[in-house]
Amino acid sequence: MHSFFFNYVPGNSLIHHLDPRTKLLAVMVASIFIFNAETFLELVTIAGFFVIIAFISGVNYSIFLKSLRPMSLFFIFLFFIQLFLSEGKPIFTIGFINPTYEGLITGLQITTRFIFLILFASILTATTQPVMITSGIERLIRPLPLKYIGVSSFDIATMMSLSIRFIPLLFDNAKKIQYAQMSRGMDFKNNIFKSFSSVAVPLIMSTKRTAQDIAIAMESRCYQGIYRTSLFELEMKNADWIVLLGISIMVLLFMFLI
Amino acid sequence: MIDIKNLVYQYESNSKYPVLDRLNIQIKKGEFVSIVGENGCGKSTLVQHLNALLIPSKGTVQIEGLDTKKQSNIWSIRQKVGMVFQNPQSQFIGTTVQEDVAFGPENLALSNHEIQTRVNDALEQVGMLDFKEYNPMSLSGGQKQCVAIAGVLAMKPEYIVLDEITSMLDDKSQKTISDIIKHLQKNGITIIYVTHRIKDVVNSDRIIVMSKGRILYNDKPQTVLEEPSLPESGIEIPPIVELANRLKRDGIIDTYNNKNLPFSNKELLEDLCQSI
Amino acid sequence: MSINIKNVDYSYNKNTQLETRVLENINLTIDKNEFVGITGKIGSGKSTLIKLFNGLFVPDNGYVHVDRVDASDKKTRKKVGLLFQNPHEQLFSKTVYEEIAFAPSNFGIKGDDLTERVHESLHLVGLDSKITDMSPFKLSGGEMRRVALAGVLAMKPEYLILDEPTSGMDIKGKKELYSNLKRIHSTGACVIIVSHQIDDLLPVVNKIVLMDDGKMTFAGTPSEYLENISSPVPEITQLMRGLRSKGFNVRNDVLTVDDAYGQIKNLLTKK
Ligand SMILES: Nc1ncnc2c1ncn2[C@@H]1O[C@H](COP(=O)(O)OP(=O)(O)OP(=O)(O)O)[C@@H](O)[C@H]1O
Ligand SMILES: Nc1ncnc2c1ncn2[C@@H]1O[C@H](COP(=O)(O)OP(=O)(O)OP(=O)(O)O)[C@@H](O)[C@H]1O
Ligand SMILES: [Mg+2]
Ligand SMILES: [Mg+2]
Repeated sequence: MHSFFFNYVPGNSLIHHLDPRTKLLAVMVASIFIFNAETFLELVTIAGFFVIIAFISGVNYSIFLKSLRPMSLFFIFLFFIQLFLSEGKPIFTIGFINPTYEGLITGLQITTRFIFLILFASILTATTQPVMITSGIERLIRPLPLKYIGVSSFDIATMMSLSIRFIPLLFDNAKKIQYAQMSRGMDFKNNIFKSFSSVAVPLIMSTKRTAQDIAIAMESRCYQGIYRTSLFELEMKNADWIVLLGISIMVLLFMFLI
Repeated sequence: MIDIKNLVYQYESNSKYPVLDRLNIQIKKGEFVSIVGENGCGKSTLVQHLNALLIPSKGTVQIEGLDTKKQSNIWSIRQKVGMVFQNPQSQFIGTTVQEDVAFGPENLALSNHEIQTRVNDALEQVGMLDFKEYNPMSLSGGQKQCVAIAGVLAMKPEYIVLDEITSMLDDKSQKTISDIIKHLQKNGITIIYVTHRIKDVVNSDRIIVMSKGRILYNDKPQTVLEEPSLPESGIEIPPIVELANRLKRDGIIDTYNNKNLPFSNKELLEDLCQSI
Repeated sequence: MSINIKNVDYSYNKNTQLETRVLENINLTIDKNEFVGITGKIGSGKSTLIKLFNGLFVPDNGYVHVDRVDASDKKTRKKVGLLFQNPHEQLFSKTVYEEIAFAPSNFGIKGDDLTERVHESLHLVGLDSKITDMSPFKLSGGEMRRVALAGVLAMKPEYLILDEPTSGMDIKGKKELYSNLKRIHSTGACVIIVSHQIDDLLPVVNKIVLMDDGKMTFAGTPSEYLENISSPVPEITQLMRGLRSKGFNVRNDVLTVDDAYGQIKNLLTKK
């Protein structure tokens, strides 16, 4: 049920064991490459990298593909925007509508880029527990002078893990309300509009309540938004340094080659 | 020591009458105090004052001299007083059982090794170690209660407030919890225990019986449970105690040991074997 | 007229890596005129089982029929009233009134009849009519459970299923509830209670179902239960069994304080 959003797939692969910071940096570097990739060859190389890394992670490819599903409308939208709004040689013209060859190319390019972006990010989420991702991010941003804007890296990390927890909770709450109403004679199949409205209002209230409850629970367990430690200590191992070295070499190579 | 003086509390949305009415309670360090009383008499409202989640409308609540009204005391108060809420559902913060139990110790900025030990110990104690990778929201009612208890145990507070934590537990887990309480007691931890099951409270040092925001009785279990008007105040007398009461009235079990009533099954059985 | 459960399996998180089987090959028939208690360790599958009875969950294998019709059918759901274990799972309305009126108004009850039904249900659970305008979430734990209960009683279901209705309730509420349930049962409704408090169940029910780790390990009358099952049993029963094992001549199915007292007196007079 929840696997839809943050589909961590337990495993024992090399990728699973990397420090989340390594993986976060790797995803960042990967996205820079992806956004600079223009030629067909470059995109194929990136695809090759994806296939290899995904294979090492031991996670079934179908899980990565599934992570694209929630975004599919966005991809289609992106593609058509490019196709119809780019200047260039028209493929055909009917009234306003004139898709161009240039649009087709950029549309494909941009959509492919976004697809790869999601795919690489999904390697991160599939092989890293959400809490590890947030503590990785917390460690990476801790040196930033955030206190001048009134938050701490701990606040940000807690906010992130709470939102990670909140999305499935929202679905849980909706389901609970639906069950409670079904058990007491609400017929959800009969009148779509009525069933929507009868869940929507309680859902908003219950979400608000849940947020308050969690805030109280956090306070009573001493949360202050200041320095806190973590159950999972992040530790850079040899494998992490090797991967980071590999990434740096690649970056340097590209900078000098291109 | 907990010192409650003239505590009055009134919910904003419920303005007609105060839910707590001029309460005076002292709880010594290391004491095990049970609080009982009918639904809506103010037990949960009272105990939420102990770690400053609620602030008195009138009167004061002091934890080892720290007034809960003072904002600067709140952090130390919450560190001293751990609290398990009545509804386990709304107190989970982590996405997995172990993350949730770790949340408190993380805030205490303990070392990573220490957190891991505490999380594992606490989960082991309540018998939920096998579930540490599970999502706490998808546990059964009783399992949730156990995890909620572990979350507070892992913080090792000096005072523990338990608000009806065994209401959905089976005999075995209830036994586990009362063993945990005994263990805490031995280590000098103060326990404030809200419950409807009088069976759970016979081992406590003191029972506070509340009614409509006031204190009805505040005494040793022996004294309170022999109180003839107790059933009228909506308090259940455990069957074993009732039986013992009746046998004692008939002089059947009194002969052997006059010090107090046998409260547990085992004690009564021993007494009976002696006297029959 | 009965609930029939045949070869039922149920798993959570089906077709994912987290799939866990929580019910295994359950076979059970509950007749309309029965008063049933379901008990068993925490996490043994009781709450899951009863969610199959009103069709919220659909079994992976086998079937659950209510009066010969599938439990998830719209018409059967009206016959089955279910109280969830946690009142927070059940309550969703802005006010206590709306909460209790929800089911009857879905069944077409309106106006004065509806108001009357709401007050009647509030009365049944021992709550004051003054609280109808309050938010159910600003009540104490026990009061909240009573509101949830009133919401189910207001349905007047033919099969009334309650998941731990007395947890968090004071003794007065508990006694009233059981006497109300006995009355409801005597008017022809089937009552099914999930509870850990075997002391409460044994004296009132005519069938006990024991769950263990997703399997049904016992189903039978209370006296069969006391004959065959060593735990859980009420404390009084344990005590008397203790005496019995010490060689005293007392019965092993003593349930009440009165009975135990009588037996012990008997021992003394015989001596
Ligand atoms: N958030 C709130 N807003 C307004 N009134 C409240 C709120 N919470 C509780 N009350 C009211 O205050 C009174 C005391 O509630 P409290 O929760 O302290 O009772 P309790 O003794 O814990 O009862 P229970 O045994 O049912 O848990 C009740 O009458 C209740 O309706
Ligand atoms: N939503 C869920 N997702 C996944 N697993 C669940 C879910 N709900 C319950 N479980 C698991 O299924 C098993 C049976 O749970 P269930 O709630 O039916 O137990 P129960 O007998 O009612 O226990 P209790 O007495 O504690 O309420 C438990 O091991 C629980 O962890
Ligand atoms: Mg309470
Ligand atoms: Mg249950």
